[in-house]
Amino acid sequence: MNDLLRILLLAFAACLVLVSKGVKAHEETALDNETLQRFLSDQLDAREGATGKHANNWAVLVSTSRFWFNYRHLANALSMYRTVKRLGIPDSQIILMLADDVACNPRNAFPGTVYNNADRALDLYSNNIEVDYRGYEVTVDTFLRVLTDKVDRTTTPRSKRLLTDENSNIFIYLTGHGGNEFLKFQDAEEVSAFDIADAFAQMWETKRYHGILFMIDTCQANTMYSKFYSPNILAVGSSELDESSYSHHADSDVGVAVIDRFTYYNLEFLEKVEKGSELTMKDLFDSYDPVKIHSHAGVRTDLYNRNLSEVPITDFFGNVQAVEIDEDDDEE
Amino acid sequence: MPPSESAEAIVLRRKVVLSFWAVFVFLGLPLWFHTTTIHRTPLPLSAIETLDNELKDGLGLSRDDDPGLHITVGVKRNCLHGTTTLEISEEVQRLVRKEGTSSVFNLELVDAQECSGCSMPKYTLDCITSDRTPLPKTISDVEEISVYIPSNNGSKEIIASGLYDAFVGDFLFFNKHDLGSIDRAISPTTGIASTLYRGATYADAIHLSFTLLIALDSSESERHIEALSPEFQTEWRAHAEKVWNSLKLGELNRFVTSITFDTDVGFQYMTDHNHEWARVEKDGSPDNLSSLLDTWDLQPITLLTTGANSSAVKVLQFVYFLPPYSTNTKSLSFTVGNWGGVVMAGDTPDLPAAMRTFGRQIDKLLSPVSFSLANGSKSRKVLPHGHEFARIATIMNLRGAVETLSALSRLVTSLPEMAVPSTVRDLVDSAITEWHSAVANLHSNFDQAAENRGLYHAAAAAQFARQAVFDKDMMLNMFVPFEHKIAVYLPLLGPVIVPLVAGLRRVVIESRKKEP
Repeated sequence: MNDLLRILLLAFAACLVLVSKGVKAHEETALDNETLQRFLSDQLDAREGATGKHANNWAVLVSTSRFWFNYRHLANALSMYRTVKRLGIPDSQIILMLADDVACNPRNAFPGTVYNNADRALDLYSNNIEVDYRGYEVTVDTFLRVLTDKVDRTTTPRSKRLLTDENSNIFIYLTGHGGNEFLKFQDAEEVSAFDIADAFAQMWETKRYHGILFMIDTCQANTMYSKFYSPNILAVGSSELDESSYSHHADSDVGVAVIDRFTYYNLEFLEKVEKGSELTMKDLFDSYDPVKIHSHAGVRTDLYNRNLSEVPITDFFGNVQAVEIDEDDDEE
Repeated sequence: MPPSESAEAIVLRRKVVLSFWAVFVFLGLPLWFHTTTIHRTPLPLSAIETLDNELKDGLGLSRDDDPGLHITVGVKRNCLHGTTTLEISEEVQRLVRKEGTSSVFNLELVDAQECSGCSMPKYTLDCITSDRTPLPKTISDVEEISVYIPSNNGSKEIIASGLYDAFVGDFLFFNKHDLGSIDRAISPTTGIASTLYRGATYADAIHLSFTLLIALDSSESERHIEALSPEFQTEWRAHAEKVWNSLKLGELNRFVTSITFDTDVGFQYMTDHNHEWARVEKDGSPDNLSSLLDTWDLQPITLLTTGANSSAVKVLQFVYFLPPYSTNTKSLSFTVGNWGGVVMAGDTPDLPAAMRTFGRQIDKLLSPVSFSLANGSKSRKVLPHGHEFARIATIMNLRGAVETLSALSRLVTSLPEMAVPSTVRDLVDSAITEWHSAVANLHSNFDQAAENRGLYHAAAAAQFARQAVFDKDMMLNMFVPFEHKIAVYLPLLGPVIVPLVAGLRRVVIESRKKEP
């Protein structure tokens, strides 16, 4: 018995040593590696950075939750979807990923609808939404493949691909359940902050974006952007490490919470934005009030070298159309 | 006390324990290692770096070693008072050497009036004495360059300087060791051309989709009823055929392998437009036109799939819009970068004119227009000139291929958890092979067929490079925290490892006791 105990204790100690070494190893690989640092500074020197103008806008909106009690996450994503569409981003440039198990859920007292407010003034699940990935298609693998465009081109239609280039501004919105440097996908798997950071690195190298606005509304959301290292990324999260994000209110008839606080106050601001609006990203971030949101929203700007007071909201939430009126030509 | 083991039982127990350990060490460990190792096929990273260095060194192209591209400038007689074409040419070369620029192009100056036996000049040099600003004209393929001279007898230095300024910073002269300048000079960085120029170099297929868009609530209008008639559709096809045929025969085919068109007219109807249309009626500014465009949720009628190796099919949409009935509807057309073009019919729809406009829009969107120069100004409009453009496009494709391969190299080095399948290695090897073929054809001494082949090889190199970097099996293995791995493996392996270790320990102790 003593022998057995001794063996178990030895094994446990060995595991502890291995665990601590393993965690450190990945961090070194991801961040402290000299090659990566050099790569990053080379890219910052070689590429123009965020000062040039973008030419098109895309949005990737993901609700990572499923099940009825996560109604609010679907409503969050659909609210953002409605906003970016209103400001001009067409469906062909929006990738919407939802579990989509709420509108027709048997528990839904208002079948075929999704509301983000107890007053039920606006049905987000109207007949004009285009969900690109639904149900069990919403996985970490799918998400990362969409970002890096490493998809099977023989079977993936164009509408489900993120066809961006080096002139594209991308708004990436994630909502669901998260923790310290991870985000749950449909209660089955997780994506880590490292994975998303590495995916963005691949996007930068393959010239798939001009600028990214990364917005995440989960618990401990700010930890998800802590590992980014690619240029031209503006990141905002709803809560800090060890802090939860909260829902805003529930609808007593629907029976569950219908919107999260961080997303609610973002929408409150964005409802004031029209296509030609002069409001800036700084205005949006200045509007965050920890008292109202019940958590401390964070913004990461060190990878984004533009002054936020000069970046219009519509640079990420709206769309750019390079319309050029033709000159009158002589008749042939 | 348990009964003592017999000698045979002890031997058997030892054999069992050692057998388990043998299986664990010689079979289990290698199998575990093999199945958990991320498969990374070695890539020829040094070969990629060599390509990058070759490009930075100018691909071995020089004006002295390789006549390269031939540019003929016909010099008008008003420039040749007191000097000769030879003297002007020598002075231009002196300026080139002095400024440290070089060129893959060979400049030849000829007397514009006496050019028997020489190739048709692509440019004409005109010397102007007044301060009248000449309108830039393009007569067929000839482009005029104007140089101001103070009197009727311009010196060779003034004329050469004007000619040098006309070309340098443009796509003809570039610093051999700074290919960034050629990129800035010949790659439009903003506007319509920049978003499509890459499409012209990389896209292996372009699909043009034509749509007739009708404002549904004005269907009582005669022109809308007419548009729905079969006769209108027949007329549409007849006029569209002319546009399509001219594109097929045109220069676009030099660098795009496939252009396809919707052969049927797509009809779409819009309903929710009144607010935006009212704004456009009042003010047809680009912003209002953009808002109107946002209300059109057009989908191309046919989406092509061009096979397993296609990178992207660039789809351009052309819309003939019949607006709501209005008394002041003026015909208007506009283009949208990376999207297509729109012709809005006026009170009297004119289908032939609309088709001609579509043709011009297609040409505008798919042909480089003017370039942003390093000093921030715009160059003149340059139409693609056959083999000259082929060489430019070749160099741009080569540059793109090397950039893509270098990006792949950096990613593979910096992300050790990224799998690298063998297909990626094959694609990289193919890209490098095509790259070398393209460069060999660039040294072809003005052989147009070879230059076209070079362009094909360069486009293929860029294509293979893109396929390699976007290979769907080259995915990053997801990060799983080590503590999570321990948490998974410990309950799995713990119950197995404990008796193995305990059994081995007992065998070892017994062996030591045996020793005297």
